[in-house]
Amino acid sequence: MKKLLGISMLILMSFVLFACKDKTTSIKVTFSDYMYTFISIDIKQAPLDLEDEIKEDLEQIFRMYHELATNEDPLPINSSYLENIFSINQKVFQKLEIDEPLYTMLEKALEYNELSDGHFDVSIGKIVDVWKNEILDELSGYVFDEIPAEVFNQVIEEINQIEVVENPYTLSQESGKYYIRLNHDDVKIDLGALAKGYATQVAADYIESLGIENYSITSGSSSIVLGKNPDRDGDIFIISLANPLRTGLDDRSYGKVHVKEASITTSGNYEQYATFEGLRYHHIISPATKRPMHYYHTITIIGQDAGLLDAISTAMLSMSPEVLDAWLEEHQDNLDIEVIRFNYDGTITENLDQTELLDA
Amino acid sequence: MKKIKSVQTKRDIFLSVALFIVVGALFLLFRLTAFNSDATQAYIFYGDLSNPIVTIDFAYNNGEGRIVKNYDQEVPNNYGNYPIINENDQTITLLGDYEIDGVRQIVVIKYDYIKKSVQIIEEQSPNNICSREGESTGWPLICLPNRIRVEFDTNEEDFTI
Repeated sequence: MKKLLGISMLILMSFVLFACKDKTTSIKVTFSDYMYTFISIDIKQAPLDLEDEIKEDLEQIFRMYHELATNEDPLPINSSYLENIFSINQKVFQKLEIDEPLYTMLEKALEYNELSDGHFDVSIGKIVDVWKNEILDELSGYVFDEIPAEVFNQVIEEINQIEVVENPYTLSQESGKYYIRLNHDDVKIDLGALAKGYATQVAADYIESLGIENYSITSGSSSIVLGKNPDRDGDIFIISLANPLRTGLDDRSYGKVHVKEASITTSGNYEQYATFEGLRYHHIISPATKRPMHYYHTITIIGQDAGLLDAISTAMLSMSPEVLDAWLEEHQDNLDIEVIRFNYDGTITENLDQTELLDA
Repeated sequence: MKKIKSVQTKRDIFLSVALFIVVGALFLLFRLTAFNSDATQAYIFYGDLSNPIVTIDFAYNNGEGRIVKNYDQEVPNNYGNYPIINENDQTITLLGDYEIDGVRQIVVIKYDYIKKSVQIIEEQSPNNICSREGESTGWPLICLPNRIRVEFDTNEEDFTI
């Protein structure tokens, strides 16, 4: 009987100890002031004693990349950073010292430019501005409306005056310091297609460096990094794919994918666009044609680096299906990425490996 | 003597197995209730706050539904009290961040217990993107620059991209 009591006590204690587990906590933080979107971070089983530190560090990551990468505002007066994209864009032909995190991001931008055969180009901010200011401006533009022919022709005339520069900026290092020089009057850096994914990946790397496996980071509706999800069998997250041609309540999604320990990113034309002669004119501009292209409504990529996915999904929107097929043939395996194209004609093209596109 | 010991051993094994089953069942129940709720809810958030200001509980009382105000929205005194919950019109009104002539504008959210849907029916912003989203049963509704968002808790999907 004593033995039985002993076993019972042991089992009950194990249960109590298992239920209490260790000193961990869940962390859920949201930022609405960075990267021009909502950023939500959900961490399960974070060390309890690090809760405040983790929250502060994550906010610091997004604040830093927002302040450094914005081309809309100067650095705050008391900022500890040397320059940001806004100030760099004002100082063409000057060699400027910059902080290492910005240097590294700009270095990545050049790397992705080469990788995408020039389809990703952060230096065409002046051309992007023409489309944004004259077509997609929130107050005076034609968002979701038809662009008048004279306005469209005026835009084409203006962008034709702006050169896409081959060697837009030079990065250099001297005595442990980092420098940039813009090399042409027509260069304006716009990191809008890189900074959000890049910062999201830095945040994910930080979380994983703490030994945390169960987490998710969503940056707006376009960039997500996922760890494991202990709430579902197989630790997966179920991601619904937004239908860019939706008309109502029943067709808002065109499919689902199961993802874990990976990033998923979508670039598309559906959030803000104007139309001209039946085609959507959106904010992603092809460096080759200086205008938005109409091959796809969305490109979704699953991979391991949210910064890379942000840049490459942007580049792919400007690649014709033939060019994209050839590009994937060359790079898909090396980059370990999977791609879903929602084509302009409404059909779907899958370049998937392990992931399955499920019905909505 | 040997026989008595054998009976005791069998009883011990039986009781141990029974105890394991009971403890296992309790643990499974704990896991199921803690993590796999079937409840479908929508949450209304403002700004950087991670706790929702209002929860729309579609599943409450077998679909009767209910609105739970979790706390008051912090707004300057001259704007009055938010959120405003109108159960007759099935609307929830919050104060957004977007200003016209220096005055912050309201965001009106309509809910429907039967369709388990939420829709932004009134808001001021340059492109009215969140009210253009229409009625949603799972798609998050993001209102920037008003800094208000609606998120759903469903078992069918975790995120939309």
